[in-house]
Amino acid sequence: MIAIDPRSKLIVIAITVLFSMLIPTGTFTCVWILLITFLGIFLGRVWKTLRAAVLFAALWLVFVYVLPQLTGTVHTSILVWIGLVFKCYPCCMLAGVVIGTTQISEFMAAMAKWNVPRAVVIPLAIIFRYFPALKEDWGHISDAMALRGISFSPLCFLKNPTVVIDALYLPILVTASKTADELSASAITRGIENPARRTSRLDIRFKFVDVVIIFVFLLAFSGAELINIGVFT
Amino acid sequence: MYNDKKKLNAKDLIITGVFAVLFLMAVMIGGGPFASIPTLTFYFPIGAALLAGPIFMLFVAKVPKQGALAIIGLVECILGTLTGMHWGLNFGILFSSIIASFIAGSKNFKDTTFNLIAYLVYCIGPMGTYFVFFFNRESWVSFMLKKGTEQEYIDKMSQVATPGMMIIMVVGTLAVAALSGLLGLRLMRKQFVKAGLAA
Repeated sequence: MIAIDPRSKLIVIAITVLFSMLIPTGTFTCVWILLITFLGIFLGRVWKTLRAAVLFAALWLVFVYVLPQLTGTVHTSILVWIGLVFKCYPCCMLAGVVIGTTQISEFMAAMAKWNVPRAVVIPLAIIFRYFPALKEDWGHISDAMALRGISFSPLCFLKNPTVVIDALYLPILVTASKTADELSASAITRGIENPARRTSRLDIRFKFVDVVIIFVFLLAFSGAELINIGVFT
Repeated sequence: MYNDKKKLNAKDLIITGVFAVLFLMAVMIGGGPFASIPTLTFYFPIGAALLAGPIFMLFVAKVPKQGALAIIGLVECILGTLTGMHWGLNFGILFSSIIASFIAGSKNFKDTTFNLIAYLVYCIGPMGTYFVFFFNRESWVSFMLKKGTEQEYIDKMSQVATPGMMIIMVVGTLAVAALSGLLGLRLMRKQFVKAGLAA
């Protein structure tokens, strides 16, 4: 297990975005998923990464072996759906690895080194921090409302829309707004408003490992792009 | 410095972050199912406008400052770019949220009519990618094809995309956004102000 600079993670994400913008779905996508799997395992996120890789492999097998057997509308719909999934899969899988292995304080310290304005960094950091909390709140609220027989399903909504809005939508907004107040109180207590340059106990700098990882991804990307535009043919 | 009434302080930025999550969830739940089905993809802006009205009204009431909405747009633009969305969508959201910020800000975020208009403008943002499609079909197709969207998907979309469709999309989005915004205003009046969430 190794630790790398959050900035090199961002660079790797940028390379992956370029990859999915420029290179069509195909063998390269499999290679890329393999790279991300190795990166995830090296970063110490073994099981979730492997699960994502296995899911991709299963989808790929469906794409290669099952899809040609189908015809007509079913074929088109599944083809389109699976094409979109393959397009987003590398980015989303890498994002999962990065979010799962980066502490928020690490992220903030790295962004401070790049002089990114706080008006951008703070909302981004809060987004990563708040997504799991929102999921948890949503679980609690829908559990409580399931006792009253209220759910967010279209059927229930059509029967009595006002009850669904009052019992599910409002509580989410109210808890979110309360959580926002609490988060800001705790952040201000820890001195987020300090106008001086942010310092950190964490040792954040580019090391040899970072160079190697960025080099591997760049090499893979440029190789794929060169083959794609047909230099070697 | 910290009590500056006009500039955004740390508290406003944190509230902005939390509400950005809510906006993203609203778009995903409301519009997500439409975006991935070729024949329904033009209804995506309508779905995206469906849920966000009350969130928008509450946010505007909680952070009544110039620029907060623009930050929401900027953050959504960054996340959209990182997950490989079409640039028309990302920058459409960015520009429309900046314009919405100015519209609501011209009355200090207090005037309900102006807030409603600002929400309508905000909802036009996700249509950016489809405007690019209608006005410059060649570039859109080449961009999406290079991005690996299947040829059949494009064919299906070209088949569905007629000028009438465009009108339905714009009018439908505005209508749904107006309903959602009115619901937001009603919830503000009946619930949030009484609960002390927003002054």
